[in-house]
Amino acid sequence: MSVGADPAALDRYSRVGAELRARLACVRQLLLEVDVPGEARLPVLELATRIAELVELEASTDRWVGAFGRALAIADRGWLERGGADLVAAAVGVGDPQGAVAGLRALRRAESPPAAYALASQHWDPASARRVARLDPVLVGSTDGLPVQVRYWANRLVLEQERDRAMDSQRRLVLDRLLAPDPATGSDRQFLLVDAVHDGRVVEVLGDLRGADHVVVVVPGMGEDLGSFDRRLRPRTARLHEAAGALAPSEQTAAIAWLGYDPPDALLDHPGAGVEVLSSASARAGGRLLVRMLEGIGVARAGHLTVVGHSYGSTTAAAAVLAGASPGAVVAVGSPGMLVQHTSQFQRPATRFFTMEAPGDVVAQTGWFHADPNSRRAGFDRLATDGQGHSAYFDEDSRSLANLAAVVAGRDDAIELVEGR
Amino acid sequence: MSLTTEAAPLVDALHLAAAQLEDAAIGRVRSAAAGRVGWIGASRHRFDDERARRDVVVADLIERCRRLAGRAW
Repeated sequence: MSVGADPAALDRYSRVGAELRARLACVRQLLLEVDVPGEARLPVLELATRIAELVELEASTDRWVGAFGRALAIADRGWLERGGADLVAAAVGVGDPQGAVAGLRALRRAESPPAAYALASQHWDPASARRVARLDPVLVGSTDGLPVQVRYWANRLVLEQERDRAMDSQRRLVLDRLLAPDPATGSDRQFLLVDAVHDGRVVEVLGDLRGADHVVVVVPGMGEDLGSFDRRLRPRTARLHEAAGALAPSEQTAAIAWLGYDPPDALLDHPGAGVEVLSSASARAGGRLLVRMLEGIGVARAGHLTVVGHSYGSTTAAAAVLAGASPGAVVAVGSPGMLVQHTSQFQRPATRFFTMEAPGDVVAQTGWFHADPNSRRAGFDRLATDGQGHSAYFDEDSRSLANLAAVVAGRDDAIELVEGR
Repeated sequence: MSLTTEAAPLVDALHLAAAQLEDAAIGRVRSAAAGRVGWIGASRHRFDDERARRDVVVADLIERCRRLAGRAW
């Protein structure tokens, strides 16, 4: 474990290094351009070559020292004490894909935060990133903090592998569908996570996450799994993405269909699942995973981030806020409870909290997880709805969807509120 | 034109290169010294090893520049 170093001094070292390397490159150019008598040509060329080698070596040191210094600034004392910054330095310092994968595995064993992976991968070029993704697609595809484009490639490989070894024809069909191009864009779909084990987990990005002015994450509730992803969560997210984009046509909006956790099975599908649904354990575990994902894509604390949780997914969204997420807005849609009695308990003065309850939505009236968020005493702003029951909030051309889109797009003038119960 | 006259631009360039390399080396040593303060552990050892090897390379390059510049072409 390395301790005691001053991150600012190491940052200065790597910045000074960039200037020095530029100067060395000028010296080399000077030697290559000057008139050289014939017999001096060979030693001068050799000198220029040695200077080029020195520039490369210095760049390599600058890269890992810079990453090491920035890793020291990551606010995770336990991880730093476990030698986390050294692991980042080791992962950055390697030039081959095998070494990069070994570095990522070491970071994984040390339970590193997403920022550590972002530092470790910051100098990957597209070609080497693809080679790393091919070596261990499951690791690369599931690691929050790695560049999203690399994860998209890796998760495509994961999907292909899973499809090729799927024995069950139903599962193969589901995976084939996920591998097919996005019908809206004709391009490959963008998966931030594919985990086909048991119920399965999938996270898909719609739009360009990196250039987005507004990002919405849609968190599903009970009964969602790999098999239902394309039938429910994905189309709901796509409709919200489209509606929000239409409200802010001059800005970029990205949406994330986030089945990044294992929600409880539906009550009606599995009669014995009642106890599981009534526990907040899955929501709390999911909340921690959601925080990681948000940190990994660099929008955890962005003001333009909206988290929309449907049903039990709203409880998961609440757990994410309690675990450290600071989105600009949280919308609890048909929520059975938000783990607090009042929004002030979230201690997020900059976050806006909304709720949505359609007539006949019995889940939204349960208050299973602490208080009923639709009560006016809970501190949420209640958005107007027009559908009936628990599953109409994302219906096309609905007032509910328009209201969700207005929150996502930051169009306060288009938000329609109603009195809470 | 004599060989010495013909080589004058090269000699100037080599002197300049030596001076620039020396300057760079000093900058490196200073910023490395500031970075080392309080730093202990595995990465510090790696840093010291790399810096030591690199400083030798730079010193050798400076020496080569001067030797070449001083040669009567």
